[in-house]
Amino acid sequence: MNSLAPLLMTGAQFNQPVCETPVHKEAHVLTSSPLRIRQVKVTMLRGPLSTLSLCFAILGFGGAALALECKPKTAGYFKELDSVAAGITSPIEQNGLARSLTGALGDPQKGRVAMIDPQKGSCIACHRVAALSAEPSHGNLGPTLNGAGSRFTEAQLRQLVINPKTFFPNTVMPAFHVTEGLTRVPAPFDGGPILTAAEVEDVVAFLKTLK
Amino acid sequence: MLIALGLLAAALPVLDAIGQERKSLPTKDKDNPLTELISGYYFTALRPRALQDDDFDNPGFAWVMQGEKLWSQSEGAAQKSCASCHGDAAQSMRAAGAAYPKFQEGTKSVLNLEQRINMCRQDHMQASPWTYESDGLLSMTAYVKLQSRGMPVDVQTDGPASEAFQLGRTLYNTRTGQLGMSCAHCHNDHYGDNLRAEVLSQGHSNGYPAFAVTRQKFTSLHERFRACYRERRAEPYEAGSAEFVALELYLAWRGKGLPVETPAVRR
Repeated sequence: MNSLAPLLMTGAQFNQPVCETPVHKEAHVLTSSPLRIRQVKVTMLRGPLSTLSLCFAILGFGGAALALECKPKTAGYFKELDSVAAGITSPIEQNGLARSLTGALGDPQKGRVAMIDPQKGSCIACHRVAALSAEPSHGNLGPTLNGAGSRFTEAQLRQLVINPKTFFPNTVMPAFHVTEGLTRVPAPFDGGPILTAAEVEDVVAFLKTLK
Repeated sequence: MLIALGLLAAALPVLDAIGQERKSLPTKDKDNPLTELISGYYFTALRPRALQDDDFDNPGFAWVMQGEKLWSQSEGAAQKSCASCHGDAAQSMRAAGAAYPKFQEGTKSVLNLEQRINMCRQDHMQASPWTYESDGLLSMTAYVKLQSRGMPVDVQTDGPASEAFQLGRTLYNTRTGQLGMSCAHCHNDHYGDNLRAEVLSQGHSNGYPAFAVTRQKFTSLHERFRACYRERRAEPYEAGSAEFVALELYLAWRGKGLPVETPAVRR
């Protein structure tokens, strides 16, 4: 993030996560129109000068630059969820999986460990999580999980951990509790899921705490 | 005035984390899934880049110099060296490395540079082929490919090479391993993003064989493929397999136009 951008982003409306990532492929600019909030995708121009002039350019072309966010994957996430979920007819798939895999509640403390462990969930490899900020080097392939417990129901969180492809068919995110349909899985991983049923419940229990 | 500023912004270069310009080239082929080509050089940290920039500091040149020595060393029953037929590599091998993998009439298959070198060893020197990842094969590959340094990667993917090319494209886009990811998921959709502390590159092949600083080892492209497979908990193909040669051909096409950087220094 260049030094000027935080200055440009001050203001009450900028409650979007500030991008700490070193590279930004595109910026999304929210512009207001009398009818609705529109999301416009703008090819990212990097560097302090370009960010500044990008804002000016947008102002110059008549849009009011309300927010400039580096990679608002959360916004895209919802959009994608809406469009994909709209095509899903099964109520179980659309609403997630309400029933616990183990029949019991998970342990959020164990879930926290599995979220970090590179051999388990390793969620922070791709997601930024403020509650896990003691752990260094969070990735940014996926949206931040801050507030995931408010954005999704427990059933949806469970479904997302078990197999996110039911919501997002093209996602890079692994299915953490699926063993079918995988190819070239070597020993000792073949036949087993990445997370056990109990570990899925632990992770879901931790995600629910992210309000 | 404002429009002028906007135009100025459009003309400014793309910068990376450390404020350095990340040079990109336009893709030549409309089928290419990438809209811009960025060499792995610009996704590598500054120190490895500095090593690559200076031939005296670049560890890969130890292999290049070994390759130069081997070039004129007679071997095999025929007691011939590469130089016996090809003379000065700077002349005879110029631009050769940039065109591989390439369909060979002799074998009726697509071979990469390593395999082509071994073919020469067997057919003309009557020497035993080097094993994959051996210092001899890495050295000679690097030395031959150095003669194309700075020249654009340009492979042929149509005609007799099309079958291998299609296989490579399929492999590139197939979800594999317990993590169920394809190459495209990271290197098309998420280049520039962080996977933990690592910055994902576009996954180009133009710098290989390359010196890998994390492993402190000169590495073939196929060994790099294997590492990528293992990271997604997938069973890798063998180095030198038809599958990896096909994938190498697809990657070369995907990065067509990028300059050869062998011997590059990568993470």
